[in-house]
Amino acid sequence: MDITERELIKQAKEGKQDALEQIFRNHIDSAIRLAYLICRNWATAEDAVQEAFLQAFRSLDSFQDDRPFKPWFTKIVVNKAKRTKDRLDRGHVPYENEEPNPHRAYAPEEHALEQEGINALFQAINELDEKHRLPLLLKYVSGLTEAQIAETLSMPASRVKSRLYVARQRLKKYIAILEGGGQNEDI
Amino acid sequence: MKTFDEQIEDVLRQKSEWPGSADFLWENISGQIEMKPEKQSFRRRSFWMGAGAVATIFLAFMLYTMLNTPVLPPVVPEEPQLARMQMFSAIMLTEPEVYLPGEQVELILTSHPVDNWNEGQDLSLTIWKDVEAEQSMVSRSTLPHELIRGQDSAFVQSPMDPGLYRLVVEGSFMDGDQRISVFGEKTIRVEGERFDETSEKD
Repeated sequence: MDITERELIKQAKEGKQDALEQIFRNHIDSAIRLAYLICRNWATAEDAVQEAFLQAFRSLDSFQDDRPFKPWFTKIVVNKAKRTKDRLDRGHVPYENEEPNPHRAYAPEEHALEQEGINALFQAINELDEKHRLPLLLKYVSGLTEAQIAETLSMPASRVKSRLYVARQRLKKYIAILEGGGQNEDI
Repeated sequence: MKTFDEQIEDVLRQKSEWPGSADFLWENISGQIEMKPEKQSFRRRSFWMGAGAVATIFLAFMLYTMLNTPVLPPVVPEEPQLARMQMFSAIMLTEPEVYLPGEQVELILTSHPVDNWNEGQDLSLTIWKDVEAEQSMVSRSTLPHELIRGQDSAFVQSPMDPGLYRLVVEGSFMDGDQRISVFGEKTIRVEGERFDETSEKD
């Protein structure tokens, strides 16, 4: 944790609203992306992240200053998002996969083939089972190191390393099958 | 040519572009954060000072009684009495955390592998209410294993009625071929108005 974040946490513990807002803005992007990719519904992802921030802010007193904030907070986000996903799985709220984002600018330079590859890779990621998909999301969306992922998921770093390796291998295999060819190590 | 790592990162970034507003979300969150007044820390400090004083007097009294009492054969209290005394001392000497009705409570879990398991196998949450130092069970519910597996804590909802409660998560689940036993407990005080569980609006 850099000195700025350490100072922010200290101020937030003293109840300074500006510090809380800065922490929120520092972490909202990766938190909302992670929550969405876990529950696959924007409304519930927002609810999960909102609950996660509230819980984190209310529990700041128990947070140890010498530890990095992001893995601690990400663990809360993961727990909240998984719980809302469980609700989705029970059929209360529909998934909203594959809906085009209306806020995303149209990019004419994106070739159809390139878009097809992107969709295939995303589909492959979604086909992974949770124990391999979650470490992948924490690495590539939250930007956590393997040690931090291990801390977040309460498992040994060696297991994280192995799951990331297996996940990447499965993605490559899945893509190769989709492309109808053999093993393509480039993708 | 992008590396495979970069491709994964790009795809996940592209497929998770948030259509919402951080400002709007912050407004919601900041409206629900209770700012800590300074007196709260003073109140907590004075609580601990009071608890420390009570504990010191209690220990002094115990020491005095021990030194002035003739040695008698030890009397082992019956099990229910012992359990009640342990519960009573736990409540008296530790400060229960305060939660709103319906708020999420995090229980830190300890787990260990077991070979022979004779007790009930389901993971359960039991809620005990403390009324005038008497414990009564309020509810007992089964917890899905998925909520706990791979975690070192469990999140459960606090009771809706104000009061002093003990929440206990216990049981076991199978992790591959290995049965894992899990236990966690927390004493909490529920007070105030209902926690605004925004996700219930779904």
